[in-house]
Amino acid sequence: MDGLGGAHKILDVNYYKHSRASLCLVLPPVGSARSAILLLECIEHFIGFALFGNPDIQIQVCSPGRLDARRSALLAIGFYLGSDTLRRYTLGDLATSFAEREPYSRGRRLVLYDAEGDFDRNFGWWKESGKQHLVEPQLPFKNGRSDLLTGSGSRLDIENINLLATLLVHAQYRGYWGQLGMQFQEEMEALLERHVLKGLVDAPWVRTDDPESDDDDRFFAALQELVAYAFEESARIKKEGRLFPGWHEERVRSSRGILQEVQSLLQKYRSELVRQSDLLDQGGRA
Amino acid sequence: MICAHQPGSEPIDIPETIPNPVVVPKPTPTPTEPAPKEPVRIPEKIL
Repeated sequence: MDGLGGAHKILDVNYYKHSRASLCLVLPPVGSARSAILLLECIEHFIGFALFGNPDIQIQVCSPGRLDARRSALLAIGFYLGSDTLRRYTLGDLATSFAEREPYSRGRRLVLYDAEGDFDRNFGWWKESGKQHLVEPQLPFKNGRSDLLTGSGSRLDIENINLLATLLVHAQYRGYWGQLGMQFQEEMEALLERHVLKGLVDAPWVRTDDPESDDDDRFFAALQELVAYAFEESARIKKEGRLFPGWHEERVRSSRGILQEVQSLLQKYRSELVRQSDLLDQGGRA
Repeated sequence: MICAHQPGSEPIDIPETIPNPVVVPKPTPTPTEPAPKEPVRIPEKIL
């Protein structure tokens, strides 16, 4: 605890916590998903207690920049469908000490904006200027985060949220990955449309300044529809596995159900980010 | 009418979480002790 700044820095000053939590530990911001996972693994190792996949520990992943309502919806939906765990929620599972706290009432949502607290903007921001790749020493916003309450989270959740938030925040703030982010948005919305779920994006997945976003029930109805669709898809895959055990894996790969499609989409964009980054490292043009 | 938990019926059991069937779980890395630090080597004086 001392290494993280002392109890006064990480526990006492923090009014925010899950409504059922005894305490909320705020970890310092780091520059990548890999660093975040490593930090949690080091804490796990030190305390001899699992943090990942532990039902007693709720992990909230914070990303810089307040994503707008639509992109917040895509962040939440992408996280949910891409996770290694399908979760069934009650609205109470999403209640925090800031659910009703004025002036920062955030409602009961998967995605929450910050409450204008401390924000370290000293992280590199990739941008494109003409044909040049530039790294600004600071983020392009002075404040603002989009936080995602994963519940009992995994390493994959952190990697996926980081990927999704990177694409979406670059699309919103015209960063280096802006074009790729816009393309991702289009593909994600097309995917939802194929499954007749595009209307879900219009629900208030995050509480913004817009008074119409206050409706927890409208958000929760959308979340329940998503959850029901994902559980049904999971049951279909399992049933096919029982009926046709010999070619279950092939069927899963070729079924193009929503869960498989989201995995493929995340993999495609993860690979593209890595490919273009490698090209930049080699001094070429991505 | 078949009631839940009635003999012959499948119990209604709504799980809170289930594994995503299309995600192949990755093995959890085993933490290893960091390698012992090598002693600092002081260059020899060249006269």
